[in-house]
Order: sequence, then structure tokens, then C-alpha cells
Amino acid sequence: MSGPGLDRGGGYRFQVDYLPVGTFRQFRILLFPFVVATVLLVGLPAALALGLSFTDYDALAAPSWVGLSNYTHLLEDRIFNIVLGNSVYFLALSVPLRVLGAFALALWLGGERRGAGGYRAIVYLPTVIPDAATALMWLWIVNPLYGPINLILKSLGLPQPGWLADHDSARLVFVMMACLQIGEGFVVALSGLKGIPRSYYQAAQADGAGALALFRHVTLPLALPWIALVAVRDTIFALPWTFAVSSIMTGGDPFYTTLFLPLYARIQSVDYLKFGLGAAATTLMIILAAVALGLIGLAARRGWYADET
Amino acid sequence: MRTRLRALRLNTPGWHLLSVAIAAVFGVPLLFALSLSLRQVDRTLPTTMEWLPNPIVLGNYAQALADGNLIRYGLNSLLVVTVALPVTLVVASWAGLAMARSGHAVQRRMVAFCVVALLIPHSMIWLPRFLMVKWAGLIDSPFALMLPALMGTSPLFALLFYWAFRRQPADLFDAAAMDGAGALRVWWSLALPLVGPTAMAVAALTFLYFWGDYIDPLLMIKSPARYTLPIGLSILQQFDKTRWPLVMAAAVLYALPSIGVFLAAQRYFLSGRRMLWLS
Amino acid sequence: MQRSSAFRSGARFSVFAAALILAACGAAAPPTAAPAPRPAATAIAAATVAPAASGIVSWMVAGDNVEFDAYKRIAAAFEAANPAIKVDLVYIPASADYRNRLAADFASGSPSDVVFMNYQRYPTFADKNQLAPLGDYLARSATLKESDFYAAAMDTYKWRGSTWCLPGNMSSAVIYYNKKLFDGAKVGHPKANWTWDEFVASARAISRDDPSLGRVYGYGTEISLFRVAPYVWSAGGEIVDSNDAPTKLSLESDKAVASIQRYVDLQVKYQAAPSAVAEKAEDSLTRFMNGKLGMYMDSRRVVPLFRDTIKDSFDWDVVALPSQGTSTSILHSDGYCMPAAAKNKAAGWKLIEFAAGPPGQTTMTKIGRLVPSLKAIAESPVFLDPNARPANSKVWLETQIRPVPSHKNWPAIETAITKELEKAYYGVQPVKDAVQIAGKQAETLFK
Repeated sequence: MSGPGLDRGGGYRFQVDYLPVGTFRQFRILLFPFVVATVLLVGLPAALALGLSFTDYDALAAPSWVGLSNYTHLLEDRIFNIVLGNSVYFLALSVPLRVLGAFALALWLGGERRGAGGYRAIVYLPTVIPDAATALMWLWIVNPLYGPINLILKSLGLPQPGWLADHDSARLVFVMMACLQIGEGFVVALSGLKGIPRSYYQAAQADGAGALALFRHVTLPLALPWIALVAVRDTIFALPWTFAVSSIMTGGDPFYTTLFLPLYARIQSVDYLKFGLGAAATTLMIILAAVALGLIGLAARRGWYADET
Repeated sequence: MRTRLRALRLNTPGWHLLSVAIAAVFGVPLLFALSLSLRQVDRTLPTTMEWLPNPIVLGNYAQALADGNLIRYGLNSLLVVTVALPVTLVVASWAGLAMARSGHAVQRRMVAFCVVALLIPHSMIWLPRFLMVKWAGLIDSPFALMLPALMGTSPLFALLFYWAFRRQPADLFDAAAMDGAGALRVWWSLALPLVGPTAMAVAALTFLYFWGDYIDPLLMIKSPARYTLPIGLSILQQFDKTRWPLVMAAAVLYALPSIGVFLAAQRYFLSGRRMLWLS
Repeated sequence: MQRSSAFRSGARFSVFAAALILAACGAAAPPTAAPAPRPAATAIAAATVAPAASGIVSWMVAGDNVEFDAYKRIAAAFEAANPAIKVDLVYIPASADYRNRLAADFASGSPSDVVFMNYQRYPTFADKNQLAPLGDYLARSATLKESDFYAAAMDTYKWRGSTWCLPGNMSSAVIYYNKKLFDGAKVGHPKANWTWDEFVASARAISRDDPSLGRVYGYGTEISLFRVAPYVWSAGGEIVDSNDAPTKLSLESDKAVASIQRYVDLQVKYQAAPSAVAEKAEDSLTRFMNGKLGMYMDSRRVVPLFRDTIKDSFDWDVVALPSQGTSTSILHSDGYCMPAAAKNKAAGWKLIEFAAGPPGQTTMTKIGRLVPSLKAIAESPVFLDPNARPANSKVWLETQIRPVPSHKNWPAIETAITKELEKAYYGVQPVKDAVQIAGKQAETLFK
């Protein structure tokens, strides 16, 4: 949830430079468990996913090398393309909305007004509720005939979507859920905005800047690294997050519209014992996240430059 | 801050009005679940909006505990958390302390290492981890669920400790080390007490991670006697999908410890003044 | 002092690390999976070497509490009859979980000694040499012989020249109907050889908006190939080109398309069945139990549930599927199978012999769960109990039943077709497109 860009962007925060270095190497041993376990629990599995994606492997017999055929199979497969489309849709919709929501709420609730702490806690609350519980609660909330959302719409005389029963609105339910679990981004946004020195605003105001100009020329550019940070975090976690909720709520229905890459990988590997295909889908998910990260990086850089000129 | 809010030109009642609306959006799903969990289980479901059921019954909670075998699953979840939590704190704070006491080059490299590791969350690579756990013979063992604790659960936690330790005066550690205190002694009696808030925040986040973990128990636990709560919950739902109030009661019960931990620890990562991310 | 404590703690960690490294080594060199021994040889060896079975046998079962109780009774009776064997019952309540678990267990190399799976699924595992053939065991059995079972059930577990499982039941799809709703709509109760048109007329007559119940539908069930197939057969169509060695779907024939269209019309044209929204809000099974659905299609499996939940709130019975030509239904059967990796094969077989044999089937029949695959029990009062609902149980013994084909990828093929049919059933795409896309989708899966 934090990154190196943070040092660069919010450099004013880290003016305390590196402290005098401890000369005592004995501390080094304390690093050992963390590094070894991280390599074994993160590095190795990632390498393994990549390796297995070039094999035909059913977890019963030894894997056999098949080159790129898992990838060509997936990319030609109609269902996989639907899954890929769903995943891109979810990323493209949920990440910007979440980032926007986190920062808008942080702007609104960041002050030290009476009661602000309580509001902040409530905004964070849905984030701490475990996925399985969230999934079941929402399964009820969006029940098309008995769920509270549609009953409220009904009492207001508004049309009631079919939500998870409907091809068009099913994916939206997951976007909605994702947009209410923005606690982590919210906290980053709060601290990011709080770090903007008051003097900047005062200086800008002295120059006669209005509210909009203040936001445009002070808040936005200074918050940009933090925005990028939250966007990166959300991009990485967005797709893996769908696993639990889509397994519990829809299993990918109706008609594959809520089938995202992680659940697809599980069905192929664990249900159909095609671990090679599952690994290829996992690898593609990592690539997809990397591409999205690249886009964010590009946008952020452009933002920085635009700010400088 | 105040300047900015003034710039928005909003008086206090107006601000509260919108804030309440925001709170409603974020809080209401839980309230819907809570309300339904108090509804009598029968054949009918509401066809008009009822904010509170009539009559209000509490029996669903006891029923859910019994029918869903939730106490057993809850104890299993608790076992995982009980082991994973201290291990996480030890590994992450060791790593943070070691990083903070290292040379510039090592610090830089370690931060980069953590960031790269952060880019690949556990939930993304469950498939190869499933295979590794299988090859290690740990399928169906609660240890399979605790494994992430060995790496401090998330590289972020190591980074948090690193930042916290780096803020402490260096001479303190150096003096202690000069007195001949070993690394562990320094860590335990000197360093750790200095970073209480960070430790609390990491502990809370770790609890939330292991208590909420759905993927690992789903894939790696086989015996119903070892199921954790999220699995028990999804079973209850598949079984009792006609008894919505019961399912909601179970979901609320499962969410309560997480909410409690969050409320108890929120000042460590939500309080306006001392933000975790700044510490 | 500090140094040594650091050392000790370091040592503790190196134990952790060692465990991880072990895991990693496994990862680097996946076990070259013991070359699967020739199945027949293993079977004979197991049957001859260990005549006196003993030890612990693990048995994985699924089902609701009523079924679990029945399995517990069977296990207890088995232990009483075989004092040297102890049964370790692994109970997975929900059937969807059970199916996932089954696959995951095989993949993780530790399946239970005895597992239960339906006949569409075992070829996936048999194809990968994951099941121990049971033919030789059955040939040597002192208590069971092949001719005790209905051939229709037994034959579906024979594939590529071996018998892979013993049929634990032989159910088929029927129509459950709510007599109260029929009487309320002044529609005559369905008769044994009723036609599709009569069925549609009844469904439409029953569908209405009820002031207290809300919308009442005439007919409903989950939409799947399994529910549509019997009508395709009944109309003279086929699902695949060859049941024994299928290579492609044949749902694009005029007869099949016309039959599926008739089925889809129930929902799209007549609205006599729940829409996608209505089904998602409250599924047909629940609707039937709540007295809001006139007819529901399923196998025997729901009987214990209906007895338990419906009680006397309305009277219900079963009738054969309506005919679109020749009356036909579809086989529902689960078999007791033994994984090749079973640790205790001798005891495993003993348990299969017991559970699939008269003791086990009698117990399961008594709770209403199954249509016995053993002739002697099916034709006895245990199954045809005139005092228990449904009164018309004999319909299961009189219907002509066909199985779906055996193919290693069948579950995936079935899912692919089901998804397309679902789209057609809810009016999102024409039937012609659905079967065409399904055919394409299945093409690669048949290879």
C-alpha cells in the first residue's frame, strides 16, 4: 500500500534523512526470516505460476511442456475472452471510482470538525468486514424481489434492476461493493492531503486564488503522488478481491458476466484439473495488472510534467 | 486544512448533512443485514420495505450458532489468528528493526524488495501456493493457513515497522548495543516498546487478514472439523438459502470480531493527528 | 546469554525455514507421480492380498442433515458387522462444495478411500487413472453380484472395458406437482402418459397473481442441459452423435431445436415459469416448498427435503415427464467409487459392498432419498411405501430412462451447453444461436 514513489512525491515529509547507521551487524540476522519467507512465499509461487503456464499439468502426473499453447488456447477461447472483458471492465470502472471516492471523501471528512472522526470510522467500516460476510450481506441487499434496495426503489416508484439476475447489471453490483470498501485508500488520501503545508494555501490565497484554483493548483498536484499510490494499490488488489465475492454470490452467473480471472483460474485448475491453463490465466492477470500499472505511471508522469510547465 | 474547508464555503449544518448521507451509504448495508437478522424465520419474505422487523427476535443468532456449527469454526479461525498474529509481529518487527539499523544501500534495496513483493498479493498466486502446500504435505493442516505469517503477512508491515524504528533516535540503539545487549534483547526490551502504536495497527490489520481469509481455507482445508468461519458461513448459506434471517445472523456474528478489533484499534490508523501512514 | 537466546530463536526459525525450503524443493521438482500402476493389477492384488479387511476407512459423503444421519447409521451398522474396521466419515454438506472438494482432493493426492460421485463425473477421474476398477472385486463378492442391479444403472459405470463404481441409486427426473394449486386452478391432476400440450396448458392455467402468495408460476426448475435433454429425446432428437463415443453435439437438428423451443416458450412466450429475476430472488425449489409453484422438475433427491419442510401445508405427488413423442426421462445416479490412491482398499471395498448393497440402500431408501439401483429393494415396500409421500413412487420404476454420454470432459461440456440454454430460456438469445454456439464451444472439449 506504500511505495517508493511516495518518498519522491512527498519528499517534504521525509526531510529527516537517514539516521546514523548502526554499526552492529548483529541486527542483520533479524532480517533473515522475513527475506527467506518472502522469497519462498511470494517469489517462488510467482515463478512457479509462470513456469506451469507453459505446461500441461493435472497435479496427478508430472507436468509436460507445451510451450505457449495454453496462452493461444485461452486467447482463442470465447469464454476466456468474455472473462478477460469482464476483468478489464471491472478494473477500468472500479479503480478510478475507488480512487476518486477515497480522495473526495478525504477532502470532505479530513478536517478537524466535531464528529469527523465518527464519519471517517463509518467510511472505513465496510473495509474491515470479511469478504464472505460482505458477499452474503450483499446477496441479500440486491435480491431483486425482496432485497432492501429494490424495495426502496419500488416504494419510490422507480424501476428496479434485476441486479445479479440481469446480464447488464450483474457486474455493476461488484463495482458497487468494491466502491464501498475503500478504507485503505481513504486513509492514504487523508494523510496525503494532511501533509500539504498550510502555507501553500495561504500563499496561493494571497495571490487571489479562488477555491477552484486552490484545488487545481495546490491540492491536486501535491496529492498526485498519493493518488498514484492508491491507484496502484487498487489495481493490484482489484481482481484478486473478486475471487471470494464472485464465488459466493454468483459463481460467474448469469452467463459468465461475473466470471473474473481468479474464479476462472480456479474452475480450470481445481475443478477441471487443468493447472497449466489456470496458471496461464493467473499469469495473464498479473500482466493485466502490470499494464494497468503502466497506464497509471504514464498518467501520473504526464500529470507531474503538466504541473511543472 | 481549515483554509481549504473555508474555501469550500460550507457551514457546519450543511457539512453534517452531506456527511450523514455519506455515512448512510457506507453504514446502511450492515444495518440492512442486522435488521434482517432480527426477523422471524418463516415462509415469507418482505415485499415492502421494512426497516425493522416486527416482531424483533434474537433467536436466529442462537439458531445460526447451532445449525451452522459456528462455534467450532470460530475456534478454528481463532486458532489460526492466535498463532499467526504473534509470528507476524515478530517477523515484521525484526525485519523493520534490521532494516532501520542497516546501511543506506541495504535500506534502499530492502525497501525496493518490499515494494516488489507488495505487487504480488497472496490472493493472486493462490494456485502455485496450493501446489506448494500440497507438495509440502500441508493440505488440510491449519499450518497451511498460517504460512503467510512467516513472512510477516505483508511486506507492508515490515515497512511500517521500518518507518517507525527509523524515527527513533539512533544513539539509543547504539548505546544499548555498545553495552553488549544482543539484537534480540535490544528488539524486545528497547525497540518494541517504542513503537506501540505501529505494533497495534499491524496487529489489527493482521487480525483482519487472517480472520477474513477465504481463499486459503477454501482450497487447503479438507476436513469439516478444521473449517474456518468463512467456509462455515458459505455452507450455511448454500444449505439455508431459504432462511435468509439465519444467514444474516451468521454473517453478522462473523463480522463482529473484525468490527470490534477495528473500533478498538482505529485510533492507531484513523485518528486525525497520528496517521499510521505518516508515523 | 543474549547471544545464546538469539541463537536459540534463530534455530527455531531455521526449523520454519527448513520446512519452507522443503516445500520449495518439492516445488522445484514436482513429484514424478508414481507411474500409475495398471489398474486391473492393483485391484486383483488388493483383493487377494488382503482378504481380511481391517483398519480405518475414510468415506466422503454429501447431503443435508437427514442424509448425514442416514450415512452415520450405515457407518455404525458397517462397523458392527466388521469389528476390525473403523469408518471415518468425511461430511461435506453442500453438493457444490462436495464436487469441488472431490476434484481438489484428487489433485492434492489424498482422496478418501470411498467417494460418492455422479455418473457424469467419474470418467474425468477414470481417464486419469485415478479410480480403482471394481469389476474384479464385484466378481469375487460373496454378497453382491452384478445382476442384483438394474442394468440401466450398472452399465453407466462401465467405461473403456472396466467397471468403475457401483451404483448407489437409480433415480430419474420426474414432475413434482402441488395438488392444492392444481385444484385451486380447477385443473385436472396430471396423468401417467400426458402430453407436452397438456403440460403447458396446466402450467399456464396455474400461473397467476395471488393476493396472498404473490406471483404463482405453473412450472419451474433450474435451467440446465440435464433438464432439457429428456424432452429432446422424447421429441426424437439427440444430444450427441454417439452416446458411447461422442465427438460432437447434435442439438442443432430440427427436432432438437423444436423441442428446446417448446421448453423455452414456457418462460419466454407464456410466462408460465419464473423469469431470471424471479428465479434469482427465490429459486424454483424454494418456491415449490413455499406453495407458490405448480410443478417442479427434479429427481428423487428432494423427497426427504419436501417431506421435512412441506409437511401437511399442501398435498403433493409425482408424475412422469410429459411426452413430446415417446415418454423418456434422464438417469440420475451416483456411484460409490474407490480412488486408486485409496490407502485402505480392502476395507474400502467392504464398505462399498455394504453401502451399495442391501444394508446401505435400504437405509437410504427409508429416508426417501433414493430410488434403489438394487432390484430387490426397489420392488419392495421399502421403496413403494404407500403411506409416505409421494404416493406415486412407482413412476420411477416405470419410466424409460436414458443416460447422458460418458466422456472425460462431460462436466465441462454440460456446463457450456447449460450456459447457452440459460440465455435462450431467459429470452436473451434465440434457441438456434444457443445450440450453434454450444456446439462450437463443445467441439474443443470433445477432443
